[in-house]
Amino acid sequence: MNITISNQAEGPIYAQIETQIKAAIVSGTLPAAAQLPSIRALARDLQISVITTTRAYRDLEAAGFIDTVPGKGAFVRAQDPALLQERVLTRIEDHLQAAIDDAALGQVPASTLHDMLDDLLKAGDDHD
Amino acid sequence: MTELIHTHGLTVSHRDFTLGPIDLALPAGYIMGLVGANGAGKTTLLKALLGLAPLDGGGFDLLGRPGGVATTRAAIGVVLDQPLFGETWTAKDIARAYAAGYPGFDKAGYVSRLNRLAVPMATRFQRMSRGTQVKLQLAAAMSHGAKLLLLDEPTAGLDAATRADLMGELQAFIAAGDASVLISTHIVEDLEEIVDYLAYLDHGRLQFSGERDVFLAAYRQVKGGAAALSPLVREAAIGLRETAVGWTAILPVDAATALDGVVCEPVGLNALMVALERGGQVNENSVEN
Repeated sequence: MNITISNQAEGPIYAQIETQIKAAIVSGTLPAAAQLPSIRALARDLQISVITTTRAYRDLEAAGFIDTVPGKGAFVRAQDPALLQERVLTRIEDHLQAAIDDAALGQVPASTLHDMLDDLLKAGDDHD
Repeated sequence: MTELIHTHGLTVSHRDFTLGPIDLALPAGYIMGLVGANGAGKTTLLKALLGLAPLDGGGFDLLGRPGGVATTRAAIGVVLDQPLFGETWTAKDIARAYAAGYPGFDKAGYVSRLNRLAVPMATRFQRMSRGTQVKLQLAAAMSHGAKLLLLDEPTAGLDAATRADLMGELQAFIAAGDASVLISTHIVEDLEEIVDYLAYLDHGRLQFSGERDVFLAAYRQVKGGAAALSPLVREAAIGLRETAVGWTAILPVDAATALDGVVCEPVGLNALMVALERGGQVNENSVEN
């Protein structure tokens, strides 16, 4: 598993770590029961403070992505596919709602929004 | 959580300078940066912890034992401005002396650290560059089973690469979770990424002691136009800089988020220290330990 953090204002470092580990778990790169680097090993590798990696792992555990076992380490928790799908759908909804809000501000009609969505999807297909 | 350093009301009074009262705690397994301008009292605090400066008030515990009660010398590793061994000694001489003087001397670890830091075994201390001298002192301090490192401005005058090497060694030192480092410095960039805890000294007073992130989260870097610079903002601003095209300042987070029409960003440790040193006051209402 690779984790790359940016110091250039891409959000707090602990949040970057959480995002990347979540993505790896959701995509299957990190399968269930896979062991994560220890909090301290990760801090050393990324050259950041122990408190930062501790916070990232604590948040991940609270969000249901990993389990930490005292004396053993941190492991990926088996993810419920239905729950993952639920999360993805919610995120899509949030993005769509943001687009709708922006359209309202700019007085862009719904038909234009639909056309834009179709064009983007088509462009995406052309890339594949 | 075990605390390796715990001070309560620690005070050292000199004729024209008083340090304290200092209340700080450093749990096992972490790095604490002791920061502040020259003359703020950092060296005095370290000397007090080492029993080199008598207290005029309060007390402290080191590694769970009251200070003043002899903690084994081996448990505390020290790097001060003067080396603890002879100026003519070589790394090899130190190994011989430490093997005789410390039952828990880890020769293999010492040698591998020296190799990693490119410190020659047979060169006299006084003939080494300052950077190599500090690397040798640190390697020696980490080799006799210490659980606590007390370092007084080890990075002053060193180039960036050497400072980075030293920071890496400190992270290795705390890796097992049972050892800690208290490092004083006024070169804040060294600590910005790896330090867990911060103690900020200003004219002998401890203005903050706690998690670095808590310290930083209490402030924001704010930039705005002349219209946003109300008397209230001026009052709360730390390190205010006005130019022909606007102003920038660090503000306590509550004051910052209450403003409209300004750019509001997280504050870096170095920027915050510069602003505070330039004459801002730490806002005690915003900072909770």
